[in-house]
Amino acid sequence: MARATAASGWPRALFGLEPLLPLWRLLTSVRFALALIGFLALAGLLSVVLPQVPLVMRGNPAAVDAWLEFQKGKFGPLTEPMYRLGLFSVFAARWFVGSLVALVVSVSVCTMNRFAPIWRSVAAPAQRPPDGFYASATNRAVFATSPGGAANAAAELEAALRKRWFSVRRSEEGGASYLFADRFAWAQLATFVSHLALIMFLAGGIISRWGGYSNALFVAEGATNPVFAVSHPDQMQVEVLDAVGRFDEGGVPLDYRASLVVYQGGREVARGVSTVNGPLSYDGYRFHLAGYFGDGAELRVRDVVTRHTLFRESLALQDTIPAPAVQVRDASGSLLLDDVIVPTDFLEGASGTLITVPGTSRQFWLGVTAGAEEQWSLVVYERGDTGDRLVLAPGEAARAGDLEFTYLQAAGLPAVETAGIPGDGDRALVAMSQTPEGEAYLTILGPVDGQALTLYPNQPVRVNEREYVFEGRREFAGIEVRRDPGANFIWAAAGLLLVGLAMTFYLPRLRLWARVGRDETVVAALAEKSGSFRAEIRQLTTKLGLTERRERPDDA
Amino acid sequence: MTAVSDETLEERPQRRREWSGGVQSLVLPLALLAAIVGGLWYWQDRDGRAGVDDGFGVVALPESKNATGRGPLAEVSRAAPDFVLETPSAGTLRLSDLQGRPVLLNFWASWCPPCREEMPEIVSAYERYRPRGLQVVAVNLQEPDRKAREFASDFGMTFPIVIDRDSEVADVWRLGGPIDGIPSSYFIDEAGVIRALYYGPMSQETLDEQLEAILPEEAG
Repeated sequence: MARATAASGWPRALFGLEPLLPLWRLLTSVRFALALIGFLALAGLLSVVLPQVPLVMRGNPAAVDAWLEFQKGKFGPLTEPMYRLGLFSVFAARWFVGSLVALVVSVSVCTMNRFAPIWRSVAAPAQRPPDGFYASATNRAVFATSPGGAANAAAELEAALRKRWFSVRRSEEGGASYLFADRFAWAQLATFVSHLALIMFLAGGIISRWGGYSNALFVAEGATNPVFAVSHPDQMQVEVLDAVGRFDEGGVPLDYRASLVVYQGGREVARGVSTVNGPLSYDGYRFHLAGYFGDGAELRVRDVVTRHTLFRESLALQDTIPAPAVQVRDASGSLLLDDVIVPTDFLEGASGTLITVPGTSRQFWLGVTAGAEEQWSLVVYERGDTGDRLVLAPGEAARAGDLEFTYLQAAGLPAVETAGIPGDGDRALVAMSQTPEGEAYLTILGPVDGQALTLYPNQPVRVNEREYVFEGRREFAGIEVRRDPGANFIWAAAGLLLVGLAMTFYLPRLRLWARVGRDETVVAALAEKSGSFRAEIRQLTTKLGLTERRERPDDA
Repeated sequence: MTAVSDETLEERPQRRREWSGGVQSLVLPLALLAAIVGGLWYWQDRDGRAGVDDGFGVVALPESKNATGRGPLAEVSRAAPDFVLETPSAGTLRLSDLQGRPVLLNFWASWCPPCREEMPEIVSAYERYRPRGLQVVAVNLQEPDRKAREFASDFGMTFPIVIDRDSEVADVWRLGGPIDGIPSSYFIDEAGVIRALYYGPMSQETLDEQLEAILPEEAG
């Protein structure tokens, strides 16, 4: 219980009582602190058990409403009350943050109120206990005083203790010498270091919650994205100069990085390479590489007359369309065609295109259709009523007249359906494939009615008054922008905690009180937990050549 | 040394707590905690966000140029808030200097896909309506001059471009209304009064319709 050593001051003068005393008792109660910790742990458990509103949705009421509608399937009429209670965003809930703040305050008040007694214990320790203490101390050792007399024995003991890193004070009284030896007294302050660490951990968490920021960007090479929504005092833009993602056959990254430039207020403020664990940093913001996407294409459309750009986008080809890899040989076995056929016709259940087999005048519609066991089958129709028709499984070959078709496999071509490409159609399908030589090319369906545009890198194709240019493959980098003002607190707290623990466990304070009489020397200490009393006594007996007297059982 | 009672030989002084009055036991620790946390927070944020007045940004609209008699505000029927901004080629432009001509004020950025989508339409409208006195001012949001110049060259923007480096003008013009986004376009008549505004990318039809609100009647 608290000891009210001075119950005075302005609150009492004001109210005639101590209005802050109950609050102080609460805040300095270890039980209260433990209850708060238990409550926060329970809340943490709730956040694991219950679905939480994704971070990216939290600023968007419409998105949150849609998310809640989905949760109604699980929680029914309880969904709305649970949301209002903050159970779907536990760590952002006021009651959680409030509890965290209360814990910080409790630990702080608790710690600071224990400062005075601890400081007294360190700065002005009790040096001369009553004589009864030497007879009744929990830890005591008794020796025969050496023949040289009490003063001489006390001097020897003092010297031995000093060599053992003790600070020693000696006094004489009634023919006996009294020694007080104190080692690592300042280690008693370790509790403040540890508690300060705990406070900083909690404060760091609260500050991160209030002042932290996180956003994910998906930026193509050569493109720039803003870090915030339009207006923000810290607004920055991130430009990706180069995105690199090389993987081995098992998908393990060999090289995974992005070269970034950060702009603020129209100036370049940072430039460097970002990796997953080695972010580019600027002004407290860290730009981590969080993703890589290699199938992008830069497409530009110009007005032929004015040369003005009408459309310029880095398209992320995030979907795939099935396309057959086909070989065609003639009767002599010569290879006439070896290519992945990019589909331009999308029929019900099949997609393909009409090709003329090189070196012949025969035209075939080659495509894929979903077959049995989720396999894509190759469909071959020769143009004309009497033409051949084949359906092949992957790896199969068949003849159509004097031509042999071999269906190697169905490839997945990166593609995207997009809007805004100037032309006749509202929407367009853009797919990227490779020539047998490995050169990427684009096939665009949609913007030009009735035509599939095939675009090779930097080779403009003119259609009416527009010029379409595939400016090359582009890679995308996923960049996670983070600002965590609490991070420094956490690092400092971790360091302080280590220091505090090290002081507590490796430099424990040990106080010894010794009374050196003419016949008997008694060395006493407090509870064994405060230090290795027995180990210290062994050291002293060895050093001084003493033999410890056996204690009677009732001495213990 | 003087003898002391064994009560003071406390083994674990950290287990003691002492009430020394409300100020010392409660207020002081809390104040100390607030000072430590506040100090660390300040240190964390010491670079501050205080802007340096470089002379560019929002400026007071001269009374003689305010035809409404009410304070400037980025709303329909209110005088357009005035500003002075830099061009990417180190020139300056003051909005109120353009009074006497209908102005389309467009806020954009090169990273904004809808801005890229509508820019050819704005360029085309500018070419069509320039004979009727239309002036387009494109306010770029906080991008480097080089980016703005490249974009302007790509898209054939021959009208003035200015850079809102610290977003001060954008904040005053309250871009995008409830969605806080770009592109945002304001149609200002010859007297400097906002006659229409549009949030989002504009098609040719939308532009024609909105511009009619500010363009003078065609002669003949």
